[in-house]
Amino acid sequence: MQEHKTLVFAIEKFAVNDGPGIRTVVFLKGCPLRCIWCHNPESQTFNAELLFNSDRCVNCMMCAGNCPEICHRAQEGRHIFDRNKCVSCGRCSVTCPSGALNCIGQKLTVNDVMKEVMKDLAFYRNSGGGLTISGGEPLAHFTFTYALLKEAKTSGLHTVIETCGFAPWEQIAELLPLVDLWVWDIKSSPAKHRELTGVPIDTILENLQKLTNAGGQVILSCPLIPGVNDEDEHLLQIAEIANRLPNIQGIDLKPYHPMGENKNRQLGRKKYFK
Amino acid sequence: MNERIDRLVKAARSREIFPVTVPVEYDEFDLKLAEPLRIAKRLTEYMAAQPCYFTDDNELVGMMHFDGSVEADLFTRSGHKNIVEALSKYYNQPQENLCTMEWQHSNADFGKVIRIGLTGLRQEIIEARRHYHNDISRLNFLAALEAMIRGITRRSRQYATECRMQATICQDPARKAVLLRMASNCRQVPEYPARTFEEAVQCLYFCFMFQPDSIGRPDQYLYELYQNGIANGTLTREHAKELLQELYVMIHGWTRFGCPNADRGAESHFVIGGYTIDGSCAWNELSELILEALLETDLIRPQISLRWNHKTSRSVLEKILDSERKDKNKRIALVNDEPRIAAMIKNGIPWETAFDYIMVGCNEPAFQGGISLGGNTVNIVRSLVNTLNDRRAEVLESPDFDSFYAVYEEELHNDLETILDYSNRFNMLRSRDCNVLTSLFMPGCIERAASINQGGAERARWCANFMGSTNLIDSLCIIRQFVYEEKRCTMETLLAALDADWKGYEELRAAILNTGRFFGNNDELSNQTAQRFYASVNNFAQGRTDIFGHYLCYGNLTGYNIHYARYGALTQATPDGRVAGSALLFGSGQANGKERDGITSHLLSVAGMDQTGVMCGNTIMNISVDENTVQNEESFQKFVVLVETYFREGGLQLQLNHVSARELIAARKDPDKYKSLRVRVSGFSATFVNLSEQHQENIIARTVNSL
Repeated sequence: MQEHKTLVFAIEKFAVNDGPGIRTVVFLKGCPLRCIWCHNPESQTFNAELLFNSDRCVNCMMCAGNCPEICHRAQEGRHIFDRNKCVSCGRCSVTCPSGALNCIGQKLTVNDVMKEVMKDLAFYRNSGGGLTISGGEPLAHFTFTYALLKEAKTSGLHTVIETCGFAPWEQIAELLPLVDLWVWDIKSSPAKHRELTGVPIDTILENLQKLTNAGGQVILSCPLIPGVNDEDEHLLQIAEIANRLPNIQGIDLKPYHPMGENKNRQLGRKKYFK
Repeated sequence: MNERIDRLVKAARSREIFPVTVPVEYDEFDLKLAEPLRIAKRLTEYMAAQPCYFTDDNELVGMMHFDGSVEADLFTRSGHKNIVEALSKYYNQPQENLCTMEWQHSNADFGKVIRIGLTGLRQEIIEARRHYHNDISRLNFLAALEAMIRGITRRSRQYATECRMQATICQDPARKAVLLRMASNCRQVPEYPARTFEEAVQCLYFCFMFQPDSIGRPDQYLYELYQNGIANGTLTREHAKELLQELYVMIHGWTRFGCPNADRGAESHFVIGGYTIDGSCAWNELSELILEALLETDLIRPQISLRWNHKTSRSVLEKILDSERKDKNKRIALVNDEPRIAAMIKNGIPWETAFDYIMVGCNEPAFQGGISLGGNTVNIVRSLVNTLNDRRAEVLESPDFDSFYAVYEEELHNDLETILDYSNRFNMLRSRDCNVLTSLFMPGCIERAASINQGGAERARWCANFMGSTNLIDSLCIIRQFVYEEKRCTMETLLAALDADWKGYEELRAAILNTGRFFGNNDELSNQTAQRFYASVNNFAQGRTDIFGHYLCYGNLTGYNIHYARYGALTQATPDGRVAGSALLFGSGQANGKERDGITSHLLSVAGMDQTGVMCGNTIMNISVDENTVQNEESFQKFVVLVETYFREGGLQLQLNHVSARELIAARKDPDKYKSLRVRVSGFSATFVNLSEQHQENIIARTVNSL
């Protein structure tokens, strides 16, 4: 289990908005949802990806010499990147002097991740913090997430999981004893959920009910996107869930920020929510 | 803040508040006198000739500047002709691209004169005289100190007379009563011990002119009189605060209005908190009042460090950091007692002295009534450049990193030896002038009957400041990683790249910058390399002393001057990806986004870099914090824990900026819009747009990765 690898797209230290105390957030790459406003679009696919920021490119073409697939070429002095050929090996990003090329997604074992997480143990102990697993969608990496949480618990860490809740209940039930706090997304009213995220809300709500009934401690995390889901129906649904279910510790209304737009462009995806 | 203080603050911020100096024609027949006696005679004449100056808003008196016509205070070295000549040759001028002469700070033992008065000092002089009955030069020195006591007493009596005279013509009964109280205070102090908090602050205010540098630990030496006054009802908290604020106005105004350093505040640095002699937490109600009084006054000086230690409660740390985030003048920094006191004790300083250390200048540890010797800045990168150039054959033959490092360590020790030699020579130059004014207030000078800069100082510390220590550690890391461990390039290739200033080797440089295991990422390789380097420094320093017998320790601040840029301009490309001629780094931390793993890793690397305590000198650590992190209450609480943990893990010092790189860049483009933007630089704060271009660039570079 320790040797099981999964794609990690970031490990963020001194996270202050992802649970109590000072935390390290491990972001896993890959998510079953496709929220149209996703602020981490590089977290959606289950494979490594190359971000190309043309604004930072100085057209030095050092990347071309290191690319086995010949994805990078110069045309009239400008760098042209052919994403279709790219296998996201990341070799070009190593010698990119301007930081225009970044390979996102590194396959790591639980031991690799725990080694990084445990470096900040002094901060967790002094602040009541610990490990937060986020994504992407951690439940879509069940085997890895389970093993990581188990290691974290063995090391005495407080654990938080940030999830959209779209997963088989059996998996959630298995994680239940290993998770101190669930930060659970409620993204939209039932009527628009599939349209906005790509999946229906039913499973998510059923899992939430079972989780809270089973004693799981939950904070509802609710992104509010102006003109998209900031409607009465959605807000009433959040209030109703919070009132009806046990063990809801709070509601975190998250304002929209457009950080995903630039990253979407760097991923070569043309469409982005406006 | 009441209206009186508000008027004083506004005056200090808008114009020169000190009286104009009155020139004095000295009787040239005094040349026949022994040097200390001549100096004392002229100082006495000078002080007597200066006007007694105060405004209707003052309750404290004594303001006076020296004009350079006679050897006065040790801080400015006013009138010290030999040092002025030496500084003209060596100050700010790198010798062999290795060492330059810097300013020095010290702290008069104000607590002692408050406690025993000048009469107490006179008793000590009488006692000392018995030990030197056959030594005419020492007896002359003691006679000069005694003459100084008479001169200072005469000046305080002049003030008493002036206050009484103004009281007789004053029509306002309230002001009349204040003037009479001022006259009474001046009759008491500094001649006799202070009996009240007000007398003590008057004594401090008056004696500051004789060593206008740090005021040390006022929350300790003023505390007993503060407590007594509050307990017996003769002092209110509000009045005590008013007195402190008036003191701050004077300290702020002491630096001449409009002079280049008027924008900065290092000469005013003092500490609050720390330990008491019995090992308890020294933070008290007066510490809190000193901080509160500071925050209410819109002044640039004085500047304060909190001495944190294991006994400091989180609520005190929170109070300091809360004050820090609210202080737009950026006057507050933090230091950690634990590693520093441990290093002092390891080097033979007794607890009874060590517990009472202070911070002076930009960020220089000293003792109350002590001098900070050395402080010279040095180019520590030169040792590596010499290794790569002068020892090239051995470098190329080194089969592994350990072999390479052995060659490097020899060069490091060679340079440390040369640095010590330079420092000794500079300090000998400093000792050519005799000082009697400040020496009166410095422990040891009476007992040893010697000027503070001529071996009289009982409590002194030696330090040299490394410019480029992070460049050096990073360069060692790259050599270890790229040449020996990952074998991504040969030593020949790396040396060729450095010789060519990376031209033709841009790909290698990019790979180094993108994937180098740089210091500040809590990475095993870079942490070990840093620890190994500082252990090598310690191996050199251990058991050695400077020419006056002080143990050696090191730091990394640059002070007001851009030493890091000057050395950088003369230094070739280095393996960390730095191009020839570019500025070196100063301080303990990283910059330019090389601290990729975030603030916790950055802090832990720095906290653990020196296992020996050899860096417990003038060491600073700058971090930039996103304003949202400190303004949001929930994340601010976590930030407090972050700082506390850093100190618990051994971090020595911390100073903060809360601006974004974008804001700093905008300020450079449009300075008029950002005239009030204050930043921490190198142990002191300054208005960003008034800083040199190099200082501005350095701050932007280390702000890139704000947390």
